[in-house]
Amino acid sequence: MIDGRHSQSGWRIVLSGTGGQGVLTAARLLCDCLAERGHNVVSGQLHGMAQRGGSVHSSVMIDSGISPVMGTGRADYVLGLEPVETTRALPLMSSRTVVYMNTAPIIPFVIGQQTVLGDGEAKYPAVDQLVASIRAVTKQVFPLDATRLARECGSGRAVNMIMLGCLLGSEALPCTADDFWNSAAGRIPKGLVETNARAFMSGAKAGRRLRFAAEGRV
Amino acid sequence: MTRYAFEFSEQTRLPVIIRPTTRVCHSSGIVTFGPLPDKRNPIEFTKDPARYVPIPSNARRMRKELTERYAEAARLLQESEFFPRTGDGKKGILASGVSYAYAAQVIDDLGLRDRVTLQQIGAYPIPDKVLAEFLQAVESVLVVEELTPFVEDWVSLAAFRQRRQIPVYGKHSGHLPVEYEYSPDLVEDAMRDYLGLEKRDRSAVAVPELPSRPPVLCPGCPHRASFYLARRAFGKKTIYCNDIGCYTLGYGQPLHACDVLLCMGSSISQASGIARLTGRRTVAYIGDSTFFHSGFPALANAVQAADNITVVILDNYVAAMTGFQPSLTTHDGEGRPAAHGGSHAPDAATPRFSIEDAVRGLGVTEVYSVDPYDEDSALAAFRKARKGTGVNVVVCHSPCAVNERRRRKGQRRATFIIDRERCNACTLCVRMLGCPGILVTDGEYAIDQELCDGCALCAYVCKQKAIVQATERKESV
Repeated sequence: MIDGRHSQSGWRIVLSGTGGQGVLTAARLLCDCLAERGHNVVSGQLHGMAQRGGSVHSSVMIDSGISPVMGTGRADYVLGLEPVETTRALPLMSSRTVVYMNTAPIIPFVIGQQTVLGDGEAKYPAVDQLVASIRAVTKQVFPLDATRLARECGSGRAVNMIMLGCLLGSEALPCTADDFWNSAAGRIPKGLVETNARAFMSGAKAGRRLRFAAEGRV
Repeated sequence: MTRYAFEFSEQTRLPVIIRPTTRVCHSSGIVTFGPLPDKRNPIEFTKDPARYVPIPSNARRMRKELTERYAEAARLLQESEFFPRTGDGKKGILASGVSYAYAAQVIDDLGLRDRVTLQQIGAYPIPDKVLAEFLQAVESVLVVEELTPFVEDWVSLAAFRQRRQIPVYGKHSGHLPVEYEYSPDLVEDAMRDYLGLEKRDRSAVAVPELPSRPPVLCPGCPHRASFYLARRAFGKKTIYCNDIGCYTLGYGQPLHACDVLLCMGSSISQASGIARLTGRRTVAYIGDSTFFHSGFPALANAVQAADNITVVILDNYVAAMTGFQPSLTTHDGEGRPAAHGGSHAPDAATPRFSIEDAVRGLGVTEVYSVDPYDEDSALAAFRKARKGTGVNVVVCHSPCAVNERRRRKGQRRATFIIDRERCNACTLCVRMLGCPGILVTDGEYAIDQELCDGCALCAYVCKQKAIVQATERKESV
């Protein structure tokens, strides 16, 4: 059984991505669902200007204390919606952390701009190397092309639902994928429910598959 | 706490400040709602000039009453729930604000409840009794609070007054920094040091070098067009004074629209001062909401002084940066102003606020009204303004792109694409605009179809006519 939990009580989850990927929405849906089910939930957002393309990181702490900010190495689960942003959350990981990460990059536009203006040498790192640097900390890394899965479900913007599906499909939390969807469906704008439902189910399937594969290996 | 603050304010007749710091504002937790009080509107105003008019004869009496009410406030707070004390160790920790959550979390995570007494300071004035009892219970104190060592100095003073020799650690002892926001790690390290615990080794995690993602003006942002066109007219050497809003993002590469910035409304007065001292025309950028908030006095002053400044008012019909609150020029798309919390909803008879009329009323005679996406006309207006004398004003009207998208509810304008045949990689679009929708990978230029807002500014800038409207909207790149 994949269990990222540390010796402390509760569940600590990090969601990371870029502005516009729906990190904050995903965190909110997770919080609402678990709060409804009687859990004590505290959440914190670390973002500069989310609308404006910056890094967006959110923490969801379930039954694990009152701090809205997570300390180094205390994440049980990381949902990475973008490879560089997943790697940015590395200090929060430990050898016990379970990481589901999207392998499709969103290239920061400053890279191109710096090349053109000749005022920097920033490069987008190879995704394999990013995965390897995370694997050096925890063996429980599950990379998947969530952007492709989301497009197959009807919208590249549903990556957040794919990733939530992974987490809940892996039966990591004290609520099932069905419980979550029943709670979330009512909070999603009507026109988007169908696409999001497909994405969530697709993510849940991927999550279950990854879990069985890992269990077979262990 | 907010509810208590209202009741407390009524009871003590004192203003109460709820002081949420950045981290508190970016956190959420479970809130249990209590019953709402009965509505009391409309409130009767009872005339009592001796209470409401602080002329000297009243103010002398009020000052004494204030001292008494302050003592009453401390007495009331002593009975409040904002000073909980937990644990029973001889090592004391005094914490306030979000640092209290970090300290409590570290105590929980490391199982320190029997070694540490944690006292929260949740309100001010800090009741003497709270500190006296805490100081009696412990043998040393670590104070954990962000920024100025306020509680730290307060508890040192309290110990001195009680003739109590007790070590107080915190910023003065170097356990914690004066600067910046705290984190659970920082608080944990200070607590480990204070309690003589082994340092936590964090060297195992190596983060590779990662590209940064600085915030930029959104794709389709009309400020980008205004900045680009104004700079074409006014040139590199002109000094650009900027103000508080999204448009502060004109700072640095490649728009260079922010040489000076201080506070809300500072752009106009700084532009005046710099123009007087340097003898050269300066530009002030200010958004609609900031102009309504604090632009008028400085503009009236500049007109009276006949300062050589061009004030560019960036009217995007909303206070975008803080979350799309309405400004005086917010309207519903059919000419009706937005509601502002008045006693009746706006209707056809409600006048729409005119920035042009307002600045003319202050005495500005040279006023240009432009749409920055009508690029040639806007550029012509900027060029005329540059040649003007005294104060002139260019008002750039164009809606906030993000707010427009929200209003259009997902219906998006046709995007633009780069015709690779015509593009000669001249770099102009990237060098001039800094739009996050334009991507450069290995020398190839492309437009991200999910980010593109269809504003067409890049197509205007491109000399090769290589940027063209996509015939149909593609779902993805």
